[in-house]
Amino acid sequence: MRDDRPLIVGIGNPDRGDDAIGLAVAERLVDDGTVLLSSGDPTNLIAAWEHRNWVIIIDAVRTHQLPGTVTILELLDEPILGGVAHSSHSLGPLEAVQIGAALGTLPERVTLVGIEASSFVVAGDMSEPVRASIDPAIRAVRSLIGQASASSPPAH
Amino acid sequence: MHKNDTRRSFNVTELTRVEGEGALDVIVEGDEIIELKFRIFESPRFFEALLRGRRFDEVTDITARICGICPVAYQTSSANAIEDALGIQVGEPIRDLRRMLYFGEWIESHGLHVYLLHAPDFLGYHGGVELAQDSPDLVKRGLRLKRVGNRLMEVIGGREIHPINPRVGGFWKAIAKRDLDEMVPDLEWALEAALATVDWVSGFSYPDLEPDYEFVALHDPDEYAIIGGRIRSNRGIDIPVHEWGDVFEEDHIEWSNALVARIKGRGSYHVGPLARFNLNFEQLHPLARASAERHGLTPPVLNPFKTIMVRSVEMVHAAATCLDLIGRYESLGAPYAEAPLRESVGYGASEAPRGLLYHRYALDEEGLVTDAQIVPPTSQNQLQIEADLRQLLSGILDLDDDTIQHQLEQSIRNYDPCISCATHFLTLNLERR
Repeated sequence: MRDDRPLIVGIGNPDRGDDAIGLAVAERLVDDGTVLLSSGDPTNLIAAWEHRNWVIIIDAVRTHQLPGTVTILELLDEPILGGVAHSSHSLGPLEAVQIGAALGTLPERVTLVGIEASSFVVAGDMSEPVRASIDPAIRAVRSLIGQASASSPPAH
Repeated sequence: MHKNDTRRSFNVTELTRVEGEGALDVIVEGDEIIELKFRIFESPRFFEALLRGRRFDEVTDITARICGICPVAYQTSSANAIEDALGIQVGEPIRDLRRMLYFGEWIESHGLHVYLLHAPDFLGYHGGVELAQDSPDLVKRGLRLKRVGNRLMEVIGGREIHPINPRVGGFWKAIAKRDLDEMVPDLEWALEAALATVDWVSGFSYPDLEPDYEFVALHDPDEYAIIGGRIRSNRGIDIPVHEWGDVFEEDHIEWSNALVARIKGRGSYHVGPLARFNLNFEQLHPLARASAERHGLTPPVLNPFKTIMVRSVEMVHAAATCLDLIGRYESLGAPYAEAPLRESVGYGASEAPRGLLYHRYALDEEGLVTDAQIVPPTSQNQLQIEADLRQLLSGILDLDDDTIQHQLEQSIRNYDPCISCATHFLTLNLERR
């Protein structure tokens, strides 16, 4: 049986500058869904979301926008191509989504909340524009959850 | 990719399915390789600098964060070194738990690499996604194997990524036998799945390449070395870990900001599954040895592409040995051993999934780290990877550029290089003139 609460996945490496942003945002959303922090291999996500209707993935991205820009993509509505979002992992979250799709284990909705990163330096702190995007990214996630709740049929 | 009469150039901006970031630059003029440089980016020695001034008992937690794939390797080598410095001896139950935790990491790391990173090369796929589309049951098996490894790390280590239970001298918390017994059905499944993996990959077609390697690995006459032993090679090296610096050296090469290791006076060497298998075949679990022999895989195995077979055999060994260890496990008495602080230097090594991982720490009388040296497997393999690429490339220059590029990438993946450990995207630039 699928769980209707969103699985909120924060992906990143706390020791790699702006790559920590996915973790920093997800850590503040523990009251909004089931939060999973992933610092290692994204294939672990394939099992984690197997019985979920909706997963929200929060991760640093490189899309040639200004650092700190928050981008929301419904991945199942997009042509999922490697290169849409890069992270410092051996297999990126998008490959995990693609493998999940191939295995038929993907939730019905997969939302990427991407925060434009600029620096992945070892042991570096998050850059100021990326740190300043934590609150806007949290608001974006809560807005998504609010919209989903508002559009859901009332429980009987 | 560019090509004219005399010069061909290849530019691959991302070498995928490799953990980390780096680049390979190749220039070929006619039939001659003008330049071949395997580059590793970033600051390799950050963690060594970070450790200076930290307490001895923080080292295992700090070094675990060097890698999300092989934290247990860093914890084990660093714990070995600190224990060596302080004269701490650990008993058999702690050794057994350490081996089981480490086998969990081998199963997790090898399962990921064999199924999703390396096998696609042999099956004509661009990556694990295509394999999952065509053969979902195979990929499900690989992912489940990986989860068994992760679960073992969680049960013993407290969590699957960056385990928190290991410490200098043993473990913070004793593990109850019933917790390990609960792993038995999963491990029995993993053993069968690993045996099936050996059968599967043995049917692959392997490129011809048999370099004249000097293999280096830990050796223990009583077990397939993983958490310690003497450092051995197939050309006469047989030294205790503390003599690493007498035989090996690290230096900078201009095109990489990782240090590269070499055997003094001899040069490149090969660490990893192939080295372990060739030096320690007799110590493999009988089920693992039989699975290898069934497919004609006996030492010496020189073909680096066959590391996928060896990794599969090592998963058999890991699962079978864990089942044996659980069978004899009795709960720890004291979960860790201690010793008084002293000014000292300690040396430690273990066999990470990718090969020998050497650590050295100097401590002052208050147990603060005054100096640290961490030599990861990828730094040790870097020169050998370049040598393999040269040998491979010289025999395939008549092939088309796409095929060459693919085979070079595949050759790098033979080593499952964890470039993030050595220093993190790999860029391949191959240019023909």
